[in-house]
Amino acid sequence: MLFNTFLYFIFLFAFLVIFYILARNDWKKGLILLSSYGFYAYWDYRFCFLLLGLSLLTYLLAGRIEKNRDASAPLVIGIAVNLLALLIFRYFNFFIESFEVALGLNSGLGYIERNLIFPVGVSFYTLQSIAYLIDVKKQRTERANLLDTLVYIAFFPKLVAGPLVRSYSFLPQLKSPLKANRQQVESGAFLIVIGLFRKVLIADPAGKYVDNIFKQPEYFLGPEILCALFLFAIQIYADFSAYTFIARGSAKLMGIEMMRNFKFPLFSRNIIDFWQRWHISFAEWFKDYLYLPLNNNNLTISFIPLLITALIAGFWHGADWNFLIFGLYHGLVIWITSKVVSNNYSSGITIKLSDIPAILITFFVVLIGWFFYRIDDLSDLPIIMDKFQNWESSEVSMTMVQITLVFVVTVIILEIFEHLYQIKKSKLINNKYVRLGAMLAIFGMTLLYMFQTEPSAFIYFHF
Amino acid sequence: MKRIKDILILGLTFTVMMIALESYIKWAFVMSVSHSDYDETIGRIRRPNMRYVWNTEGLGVREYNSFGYLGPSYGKEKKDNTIRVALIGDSFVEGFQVFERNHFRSVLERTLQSYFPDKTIEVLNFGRSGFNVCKMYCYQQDFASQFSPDLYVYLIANEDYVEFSSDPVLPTCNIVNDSLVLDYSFRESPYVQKYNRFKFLTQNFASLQIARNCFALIQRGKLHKILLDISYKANYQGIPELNDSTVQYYANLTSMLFDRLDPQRTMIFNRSEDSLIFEPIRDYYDQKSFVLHDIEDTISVLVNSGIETRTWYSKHWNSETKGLRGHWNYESHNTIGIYLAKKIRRFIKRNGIVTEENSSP
Repeated sequence: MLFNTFLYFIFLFAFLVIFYILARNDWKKGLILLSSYGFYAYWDYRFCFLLLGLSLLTYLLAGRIEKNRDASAPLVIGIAVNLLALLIFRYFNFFIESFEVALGLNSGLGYIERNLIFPVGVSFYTLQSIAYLIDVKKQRTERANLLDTLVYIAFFPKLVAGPLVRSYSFLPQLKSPLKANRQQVESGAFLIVIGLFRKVLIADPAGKYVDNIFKQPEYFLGPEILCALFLFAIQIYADFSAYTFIARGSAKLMGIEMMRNFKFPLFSRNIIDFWQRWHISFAEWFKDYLYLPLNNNNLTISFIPLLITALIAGFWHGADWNFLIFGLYHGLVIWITSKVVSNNYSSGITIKLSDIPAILITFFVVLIGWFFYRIDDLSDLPIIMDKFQNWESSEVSMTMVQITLVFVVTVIILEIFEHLYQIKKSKLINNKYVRLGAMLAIFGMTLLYMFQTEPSAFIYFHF
Repeated sequence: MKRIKDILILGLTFTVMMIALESYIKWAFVMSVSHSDYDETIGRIRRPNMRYVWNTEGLGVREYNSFGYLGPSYGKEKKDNTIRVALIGDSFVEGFQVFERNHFRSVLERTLQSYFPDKTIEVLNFGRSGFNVCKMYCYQQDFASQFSPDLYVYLIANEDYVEFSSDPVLPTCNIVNDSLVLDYSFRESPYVQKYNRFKFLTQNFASLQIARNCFALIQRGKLHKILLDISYKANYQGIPELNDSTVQYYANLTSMLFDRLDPQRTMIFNRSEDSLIFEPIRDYYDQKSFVLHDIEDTISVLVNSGIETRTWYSKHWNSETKGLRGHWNYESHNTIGIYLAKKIRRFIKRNGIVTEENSSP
């Protein structure tokens, strides 16, 4: 079930009505669990068996770990099984095809083996299960009971695309009464409305340009491809942040807080700063559970552990060579940046005039990474490079530039609006009728547009 | 008093935000404003000098020229030593899905120019989405003919022979007492007056276009399907089954219309990927001097090479849309442009539109 459909909101409304009728916390958690599996089964009921199997295994292994913290076997098994599930369902085809190409062989695998179903969200809940087991082992969290473990792994707002919430921040919330306060309701509604707007009226329309141009770059000219690249930066940010907004907003309506995944990444001053603002839960997961163990728990930036982490993080994004290049590129840029720049920036939106060059340079550095990320096929690379080298202006250049600028400016205005809304220091935006009027207009327009457009999946559903 | 003030603040903020959203939607071309205007003679026309972006299927950033058709602004006066070709057809000819430089009109013009280097070749695109043969013929008579083309090229599909839904701001064709009657009564219809009164709204406010689309979907009974996520291809209405007498009626209508065309200056292409389904119409072509060329001849070469020829193919389970295809994609436009050029070159030589010495070998 997609967040950007009317069905999701009907589902959420019905869920919340029953949720607030139920008196006992355990019943509410039972409802969350049932709803989460129903939500997941809407894609394909078979996905639920994998989710349930991995969740039960995680629960059992967490019990083993708690009983004997010195034994490493349960943790190793837990990590291995989760990674195996990820490899089989996510990367099987990639490995088979790569071996076939490299060795010039035909594996003889049939259509069914080559087209295993891809359970959406598998990359997210396997990482969360691994993190949970490590946290139990390291006593960062207590082993939860069966119901809480199942809810933690399957919680529908974050099930398919995160944020990768930590067990030690999520599980304690399940123990306290599940009820949203007034502030959470208001803030949750705000996040849902803005999230939906970002997805329906920014990400998807921008994506239409991007998809068309990157699908057949040979038919487009340099300025058009460049605009498409800028628009992709807007699309992926709007799309992914939209998902997180709606996920956090939905959770807030149940009284559950989930971590922020984005802190105004467009205003990053360097690439290290960028990764502290972009997909934060993912970056922190890789830092805590991969980079630090590889670097002997040393926070300083070391080349080899960084490169391994970046490559794996890149590969996590997709079973293709361009994602490996994307990871490698970011690893190298982070390492170079760590040698030349000190990172003492706050993750806020406030910028000084002197920060603007650094912000623009960072944006372009990130844009190059997005280029490797977005190209449909590495074989498109020489075609696109040729278009950039033999620069020809297009009869529609100005229109494309206008469109790109409007998207960029709109996203920046939206960032500022969200910031002012959240800090509640603006007298104008503090007025509840101003907030209500603005929200009603945005929500109304978004619903109208959503009604007459085919819904499209979130980009991170593919991961 | 405070309550009134609060309501005023709410209303004001709502209005300001709606204006901001409208500006964003319009300037980012998230939704296009109406492409249509009204002309006393022709009926619904395209808006001259309007720039638009089409990204719902393929990607086209185009502009109607000062005369209200797509492509270069070739005026009504034809210069000496110029061969003018007018393309007549429906949405496939209008071709919103690609840029002007990739449209088969441009490919055709470039290729014909290489065949006739001593002549100036001008290809004008008079394709209009939703047009059937009746509307095409009327558009040729009322509009395209003003540009004095040497040759009319019709691209027609099976469904274009029939009138499935009539635009109330365009002429219709009927057979009355075994004679063809072109009905322009729309000019006096109250709908036109209403249209003219309110057209500035849809021509200027993209959000009203969005609201109109929603309203149209609800009218078509799609409300519960969209709310419950049942039907994605909400815009598709389906083609009704036709009985034999209806097919015969439209075959007669088509033959009466085509009897008015000059076979020396008109070429007709079947643009359907299927062969012509209406046998009575096939019979007409067999009896008359028109040769029906099949674009499928060239499209099949692409298909057999495993190249996609359409912008999309329906894979949805829904029986309404299964097997449906989008419009021509870049590869098709390119191939069709070259194919048409070869056919047209032969035709214009054979019919004396240009003499042998003017053309390249």
